Amino acid sequence: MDLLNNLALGFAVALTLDNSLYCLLGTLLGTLVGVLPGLGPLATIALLLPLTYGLEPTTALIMLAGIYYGAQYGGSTTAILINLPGEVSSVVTALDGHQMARQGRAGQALAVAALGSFFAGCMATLLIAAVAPSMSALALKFGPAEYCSLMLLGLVAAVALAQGSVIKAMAMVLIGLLLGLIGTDVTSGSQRFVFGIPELADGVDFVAVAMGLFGVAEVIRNLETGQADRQVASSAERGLNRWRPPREDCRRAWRASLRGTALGSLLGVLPGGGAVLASYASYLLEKKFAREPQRFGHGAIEGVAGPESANNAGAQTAFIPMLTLGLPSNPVMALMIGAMTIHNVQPGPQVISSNPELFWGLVASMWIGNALLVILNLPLIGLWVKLLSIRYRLLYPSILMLCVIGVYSVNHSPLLVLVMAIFGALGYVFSKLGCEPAQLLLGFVLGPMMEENLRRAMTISRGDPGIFVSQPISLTLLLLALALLLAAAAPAVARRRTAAFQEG
Amino acid sequence: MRRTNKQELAAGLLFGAVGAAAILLSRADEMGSASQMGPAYFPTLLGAVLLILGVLVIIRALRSGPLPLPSFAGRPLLLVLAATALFALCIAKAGLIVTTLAVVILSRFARAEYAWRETVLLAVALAAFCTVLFHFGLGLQLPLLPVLTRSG
Repeated sequence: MDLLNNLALGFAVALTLDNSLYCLLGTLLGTLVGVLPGLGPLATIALLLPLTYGLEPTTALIMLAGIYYGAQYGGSTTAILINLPGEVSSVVTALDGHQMARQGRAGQALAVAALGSFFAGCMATLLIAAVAPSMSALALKFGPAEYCSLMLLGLVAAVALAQGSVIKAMAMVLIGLLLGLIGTDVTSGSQRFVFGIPELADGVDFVAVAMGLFGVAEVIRNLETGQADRQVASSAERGLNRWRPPREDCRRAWRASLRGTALGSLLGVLPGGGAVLASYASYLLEKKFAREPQRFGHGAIEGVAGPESANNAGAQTAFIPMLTLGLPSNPVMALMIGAMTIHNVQPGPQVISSNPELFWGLVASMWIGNALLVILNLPLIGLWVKLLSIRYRLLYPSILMLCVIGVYSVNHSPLLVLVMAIFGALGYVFSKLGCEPAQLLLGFVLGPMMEENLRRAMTISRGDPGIFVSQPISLTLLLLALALLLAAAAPAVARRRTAAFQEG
Repeated sequence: MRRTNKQELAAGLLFGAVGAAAILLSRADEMGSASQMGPAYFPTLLGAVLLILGVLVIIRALRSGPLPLPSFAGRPLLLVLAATALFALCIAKAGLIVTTLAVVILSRFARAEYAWRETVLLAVALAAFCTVLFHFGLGLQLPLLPVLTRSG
């Protein structure tokens, strides 16, 4: 069996001493930083990225993936314990999870979240292993027109999922695309938007953009809102030492987790989908399926098990388009692509065949990472809770130092640190104007790829844009994008979407 | 002007300005044709769409208010940026240790209550932590104390 052989190769790579150590370190550090107030997975990966500079590409990616699940799990922990979701996808976990904590069932909520995530992670890992090879075989048939349409679909999906105004989200994507074009144009060699600064000839470094938008801007925002140093109720009060839910709850949680996994795996593959959509959809589904929907919002265990499984499954299957097509389906994957490029691995359909150790090692490490999360985090919950009470006035100078050192060490350029500062200010201004920087980052990564494919497609067709609608795959992708855009722009849907978000 | 949503208006102006800037800056480059796109083609296209979106946001803003401009927190913004810039200026000459101390001490002014002893302790701890982690642990080539190495 190919699948088994491939997985065996993967485990052989992932289980080497170095790789498993870095996987462990990644999940630990990810949880550690993810638990800290105001730091979601994006910011966590951006902050910890410099730690992987010196590693082998495979090891670096394994560690980054570990950081990613760790951060996500950390976000759920804070959502349950102090009603402070570290990121959008754990907003729904806070709804019932925090209610459970207030009823003294925090331990149960955390255990269900961890086990649900683990189960979903296992299933999603298998799915990646099963689907990815055929996906990349299909992707090799993609021409420039198909790639272009696919990227458009991804960007449109990101716009459709943005909170708030669709037009503003589109504008943010466009600004990102434009920023991505800064530097030397590969085809003609002419320098664009460089303003005579030699450091900009290679383009704006993506680490500086990500850390500015998500690290520095976040610090400024938190300082402004005066991030209250919060009191965390003692662990005994919240029932942290009681993990085992009653039998009735186990049965409910198990089924919710199954449904969440299926839904999440599916939604994760869609461009623009990933964890956020998955957890919202799962919560709504559970509420619909429930015999007594009124229990939701008052500590229903399905409201934790379903979305947590869905969000982890979605987070994992989002790797499928990233690894097989080289396309990020969400901002976190955009960061991962940036990280791969730093290590000179060009993401795309050729990765599986040219770098099988990297690909299958990463897949296997996902399973290991998920297992580690369960084994480590349940006993360490007490420690994470203590972290929550660190004063922000001690925390933010440390975050700032991580940002500046991380960016500086990319290539020892003080100018890059200033670029990060500029993006920090920009990120703050954007958030003040109700615009989401996540869309900008996605556009930023896709900008050059999109231009190149558009150019090639139009050259092939001798300037006829009809090439995008005459090829069946490209046409399908464009129609999907159009449908998504219409759905998001239609006022009725927009209202319902707002309602769904407000619920959280 | 009474029903203007100033937050939206500012966003629209920003979008429009970026779009216009992209178009204007691209004029120096060759446009090319649809089948042979020059370096200016794609940015001009993006800039034009952005400009249109900006105008749409502005038009909508005129009728969707009233909402004032959001207030900006000047102190954290300026001090965080200043601390970042300080790092950029100092790191090569002053080295990691001195720079960390300076950046931490400066950045702490971003928040109102200032506790000197705590801040100095934090600065020393972070300088030690960064030195151990980044210089020795990860082997990043960051100068530690260039003044010492140069004179000795």
